[in-house]
Amino acid sequence: MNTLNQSFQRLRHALQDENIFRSFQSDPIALSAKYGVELTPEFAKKLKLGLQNINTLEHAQLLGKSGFRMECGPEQPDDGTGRGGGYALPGIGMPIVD
Amino acid sequence: MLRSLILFFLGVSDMIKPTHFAIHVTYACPLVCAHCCFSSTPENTDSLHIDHIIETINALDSSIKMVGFTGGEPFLLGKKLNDIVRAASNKGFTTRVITSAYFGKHDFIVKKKLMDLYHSGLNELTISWDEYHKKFIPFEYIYSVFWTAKQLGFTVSINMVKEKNSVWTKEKLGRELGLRDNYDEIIESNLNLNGRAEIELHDAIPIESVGKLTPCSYVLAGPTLSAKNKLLACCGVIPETSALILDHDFKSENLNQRLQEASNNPLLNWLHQYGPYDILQWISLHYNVDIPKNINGNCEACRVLFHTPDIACHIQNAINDRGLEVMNEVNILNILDWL
Repeated sequence: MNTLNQSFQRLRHALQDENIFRSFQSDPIALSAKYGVELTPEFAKKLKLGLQNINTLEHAQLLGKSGFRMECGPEQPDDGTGRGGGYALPGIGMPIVD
Repeated sequence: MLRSLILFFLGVSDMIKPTHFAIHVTYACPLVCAHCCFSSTPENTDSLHIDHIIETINALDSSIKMVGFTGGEPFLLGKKLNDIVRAASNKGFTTRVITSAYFGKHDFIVKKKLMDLYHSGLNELTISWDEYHKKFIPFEYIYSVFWTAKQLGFTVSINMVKEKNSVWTKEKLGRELGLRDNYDEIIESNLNLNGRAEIELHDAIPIESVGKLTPCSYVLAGPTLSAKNKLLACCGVIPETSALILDHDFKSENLNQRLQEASNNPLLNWLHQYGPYDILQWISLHYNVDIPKNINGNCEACRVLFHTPDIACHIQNAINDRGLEVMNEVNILNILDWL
């Protein structure tokens, strides 16, 4: 587990370089493999979609999770709640106003 | 950044962190609603001790933004509810109380209870009300509690559960409350057949059938301390599910260790990132198991996943096969700040 965590830390550090980020953008599987991280083709495809029109790691981070969920996340069908399938909890976690 | 560096040198990943924490202070409730997922009743004796609640609040990490007090009916705690809200508020957390507004008959009682909470630092009040609650709580009660809370400056919302033939809808309730333009303060969701609903409402027709469900944004991000003193990975709508229990006999000093262990759990990460239906589909595809066509929400999907023996028996194999991929994906998304 530690080795894998270190792989991700090295990848995180490397992606701060714009050239490496561009390589990741065009081929996430190959770039990640250099750091010992295996990605599935399905995930890499979604990632490439999400990374379109993004220039740097910082730019991606500024987008927040909406970048992934909106561009390449799992399908978001209408489940009747408009809020993604959750039960109307007795409160917690549910944003008061979306 | 500093936290990430420290965790890096400790060899610990820092991924999906809790942002909300719910405390089910009691499962006692004056009502016996047909759809109650916790099967609360006036006779239920499951409750947390006040000192234990305050110790737990004091152990919460600064990643938590909101602490919610729910149940059961938290107002049954009386003045102790003010004490626990104050403890959370003093630690800088946004605070929320969820109630059925059962105390809404007399305006002076409503004002007194809500003023006390206002002075204790309460920020948000959520009222649970719909056709199932209406059998016990007249509309006039929630009208009084809703508008008094608004006048005090609380952020107020109403959670409604709906089925296909429900007369009370978001629009009807919004109009009756006298809300204008939009009804964003009213949150509607589909009936899930969990808890008492599984027995009493099995003939109910949900709003619509759902072919595919979504990630569960509550698991890992919104853990819960149940009134049975179990630390849960999510909201606890299906509380007796061992895979979702992080600690069966919770002690506040173990809180952060348990949450850290949970954040490295592939199953919980899979639920958070892709949802229970994705796991059901994966099991169906790889082990040729049939899954139900009509599932009305993530909690119902979790119940099917964990409580159907022919499906649950494949979960560990699914984790063995797909767990590392999920953790890799979550780690990549963490690097991008896309979790």
